[in-house]
This record gives sequence, C-alpha cells and structure tokens, in this order.
Amino acid sequence: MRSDQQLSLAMERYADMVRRICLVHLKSEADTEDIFQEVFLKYVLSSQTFASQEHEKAWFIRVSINACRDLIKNFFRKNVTGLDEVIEPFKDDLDDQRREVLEVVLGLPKKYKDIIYLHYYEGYAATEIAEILGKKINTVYTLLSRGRDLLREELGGEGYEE
Amino acid sequence: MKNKIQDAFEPIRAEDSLKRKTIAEISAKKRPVKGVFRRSVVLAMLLLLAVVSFGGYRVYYTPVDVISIDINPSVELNINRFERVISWKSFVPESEDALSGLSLKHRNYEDAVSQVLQSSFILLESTEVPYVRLTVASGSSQRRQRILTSLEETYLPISSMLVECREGAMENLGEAHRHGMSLGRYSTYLELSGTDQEVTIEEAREMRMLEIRERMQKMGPRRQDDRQQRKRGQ
Repeated sequence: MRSDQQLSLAMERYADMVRRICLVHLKSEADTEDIFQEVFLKYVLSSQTFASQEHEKAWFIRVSINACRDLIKNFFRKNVTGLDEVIEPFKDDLDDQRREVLEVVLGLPKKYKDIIYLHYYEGYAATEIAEILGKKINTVYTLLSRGRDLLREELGGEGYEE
Repeated sequence: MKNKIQDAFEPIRAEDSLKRKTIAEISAKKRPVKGVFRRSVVLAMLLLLAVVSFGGYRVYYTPVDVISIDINPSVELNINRFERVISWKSFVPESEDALSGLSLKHRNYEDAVSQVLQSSFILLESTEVPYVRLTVASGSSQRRQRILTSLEETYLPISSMLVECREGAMENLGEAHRHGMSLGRYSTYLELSGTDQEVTIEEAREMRMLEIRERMQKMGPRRQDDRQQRKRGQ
C-alpha cells in the first residue's frame, strides 16, 4: 500500500489528466467523483512498481479509461446530464472558441475520443497510444485518421495532421 | 489546430474539492486495521449477545422443579429456576381445553396453582369432598422446601378443600410418565402399595384421588390426619 506522500505526489501529477479523461467519457459529476476516487484508490492499493514516470502516467491513463468504460457499461449507473452541465464547473475559463472545440471533441463517437485526446492533448504518438490502450497500431492509425476527419468537418480548417 | 484542442482542454483541471474529498475517502479506506478491529468488536459483541441470549433462553426454559396437582384429573407444572411455569402437562385429554384457557405459562408457580384450583379443570362429582394433593419435586432441597412451605401456608388453612402437600422424587418422574400418571398420582400409588399389596398400577391410574386416599386410610391408621401432615423423603 502506498503512503499518503505518494498519493499526494500522484494527485499533483495526474489529477488534472484523470479529470480530463473523466470529462471525455462521463456526463455526470457524481460519476466523475466515483471514477476519480476509484483510480487513485487503485493506485494506493496497487503494488505495481513503475519503471519511470511515463510508465506511471500510462498506467493512470489506462486505469482511468477502463474505469470510465466499465461505469458506462453498468446498466445501473447514475443519470447522465447534458454537455452544458458537464463543462459547467469550468465555464469561467472557457471562452466561446474553447467551448466549441470541447463540444466537438466530447461529441465525437466514443471510439475516437480517447485517441484524439491522447494524441492532441497529451501528445502521444499513434504507437504509444496503441501500447497504452492495448490496440493494434493500424487500428489506432485508422481511428486517428477518421477522428481527424470528423474534427475537420465540424471545426473546419487545416492542421489536424499532427 | 492541434493547439486549439490543447487550449480547449487546458482549463479542465481537477477541482480542489474533488482532490480533497478523494484524499479523505482514500485515507479513511486505508485504515483497515481500525475497521477490522471495529468489525471484530461488533462481531464479538453480537456473538456474546447470541451466547448470552441462547444461554439465557436455555436457563429460562430448563425446568428445575415440578409441581404435580392431583385432584381429578392431574396436571404437572414445570417450573424454572425463576419460579415461573414454563410448561404444563395434562394427563387427561378432556381437561386439556380447560387448561389451555388458563394463562399458566410464565406465571409464578403460586399464581399458576391458584388458577388451576379455581378452574373448570377440576372434575369433581357433586357429592365429593374436594381433595387436592400437591406434590413438589426439585433438584434442590432448599427450593423444594420453600415451595412446599409456600403452598402449605396458602392451601392448608382452606377449610372447603382437603389439601395435602407432599414431597416427590425427581427420579420417579420418568417412571410416572411411562405409566401415564402424574408424579403426584404415581407417588400416591407407591405410598399405597407400601401397605396394600393388592393394588395394581392400572387400578391406581383409574381410581379417583379421593378413593386412593380412603383406601390408604383403611390400610393404615397413620393416614387419619393427613390434611395437616406432610410426609417427606418419599
């Protein structure tokens, strides 16, 4: 079991990322709270050792995404709310442009959202995403390409090739 | 455009309240020893309660004394160590209804005996002198003495009934039941058979209590003043 100091450090490093992954997947504040707690509790209780901080970060991404997916699959999960409520806590920091982009990303089909987020926000390459998510590299390339097309359709403009 | 997505996600941060709550929840869950201890204490208390309850139940429902009331017919009251009636046994099916209508269970034995003697349970012939034989058996001589004294003080002074109080032996209880008799009637039979060699147990079972008494009086002059006497150590 990890110490309080290790928990605080992990919270400092990964809390924002876990929160963003929750935002990508979940549409309820209560669900977000549950998953957030679940991820960090798993970390505290886990005996896994990490070779590097990158390794640890990848673990947090994988655990967070899996926890969100499991919750979504749960028939008895709490009522979901609309997108407006989901981004309500951050409204003061979101201008119209940011809000529009978020709405488009969060409105993408589920299979694209993680990959788009990991690639465009966290800066992972397709090969790294494939490793983290346990998908075939070609699948990731395909999903990334299709997701990029959807973004282009919705937001217009160029520059999604990165 | 990559920058647009980065820029859009940048303000999304874990709220301080969420972090605080998570740390508090995890800290609480990280104290399993206390939790286990607390659960163990609760379990131990429940177990103790169960044992005490079960033990208390057993103690309460274990008969330690028997009072056999023999008129016509007979009934036995099983008494616990708290001097409460925990069960009764009738030896004549016809009298079961009359006894069932009484509130004997959990009553103090004095109340219970009083209820029986005032009830329609008693099947006397109109010309018959009410003859009651109260037989007390107990594992404790002190308790037996106390109950006998109490019954004597209550019932011997009553002039409308012929009352005898006797000491019974616990070891005769099983034998009495095997012969379909109450302890009191069986003890009376043993007493009579000591002087009357011809009496059979079948006869004793069928005879009215007053008849047995009269026969005993015929066989031995020492029975003349039984109303005020008490024979012990049968």
